[in-house]
Amino acid sequence: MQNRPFALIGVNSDDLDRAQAAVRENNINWRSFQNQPEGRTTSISDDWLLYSWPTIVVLDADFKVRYRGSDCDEATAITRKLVSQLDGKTTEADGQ
Amino acid sequence: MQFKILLTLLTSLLVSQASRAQDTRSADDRYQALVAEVDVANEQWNARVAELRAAEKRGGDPIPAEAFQSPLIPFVPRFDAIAHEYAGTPDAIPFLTWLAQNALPMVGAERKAAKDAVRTLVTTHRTSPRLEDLEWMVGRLDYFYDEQQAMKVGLQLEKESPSPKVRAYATFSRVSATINKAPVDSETFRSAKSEILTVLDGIEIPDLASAVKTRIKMRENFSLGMTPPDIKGLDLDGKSFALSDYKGKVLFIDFWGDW
Repeated sequence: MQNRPFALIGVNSDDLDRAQAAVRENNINWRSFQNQPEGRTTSISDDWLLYSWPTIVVLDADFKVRYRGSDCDEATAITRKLVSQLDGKTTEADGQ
Repeated sequence: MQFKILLTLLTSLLVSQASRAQDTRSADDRYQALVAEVDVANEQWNARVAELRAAEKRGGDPIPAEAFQSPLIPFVPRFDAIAHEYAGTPDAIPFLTWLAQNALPMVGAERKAAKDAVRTLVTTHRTSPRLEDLEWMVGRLDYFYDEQQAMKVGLQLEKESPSPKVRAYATFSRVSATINKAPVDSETFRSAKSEILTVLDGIEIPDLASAVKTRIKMRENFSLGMTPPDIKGLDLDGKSFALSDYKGKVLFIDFWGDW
């Protein structure tokens, strides 16, 4: 997905030390929000009405929700299709 | 063939009558005695698990998975058998309620017994005030029936239950699918929303009211095709950024944790 109109963003629910350790140990190379850093009155998950973890949300280029759930395969397939539609590079592999 | 079926039915009836005849206590006494046995089993189980935990902490063997098996499992067939003895009478209700409340999280035959108990309670005993103890089970009839049957049973409860609480949960059960799936700008969604909110306005069930309002809010604000609120916050290095910085790209947002 490199150099394509796509971004993977995390929202992490752990305390900061634990989250940073997980990033180091698992070589996580995408950027994550802290779900509720100190000083924030509501958590991101509350603002987004998410009550189960893990959850995946896919937004299209217009910022509209195209997937919300916990099925990684389905979310990935929808993402691939949207990216392909966006950059006009629909390939057989992308359609899978 | 018909004779064989008749004979089987007659035999099971005689066996049931015989076992009932052996126990001369009232249904209530039998229920209290069984519940007392459950309490003892629970206490023994808790003590045993605490003992194993302490031994593990001292460096002993890890606790075997079987040790965590519910002590209630052996009681399920006993409650079930007595519920069958009193089938069709109000005396069965406490035994069925116990099964519904305790055996549903179990698996296999125990869960089946619990589901059967709920089905019997919401149909045969639909006018019993004890149905108030089932709460979410009445509100989730789709868990116990197919869609059409859940609708039928729900409507019957709404019509015949003397309990406003049970009727409210039954209404919730009936409109849930619409609230969950119908397009939010459709008349069916608006009508279901209005119906359940009206029911909840007239009765004090804070948990259900909160769950319904959250569900509606979620559908109205966060359905497929809708725009969620932007996220502005800090990354794990403490640097601020916003999700809208990535507008124009497809975003795969993973709500994750190191569990």
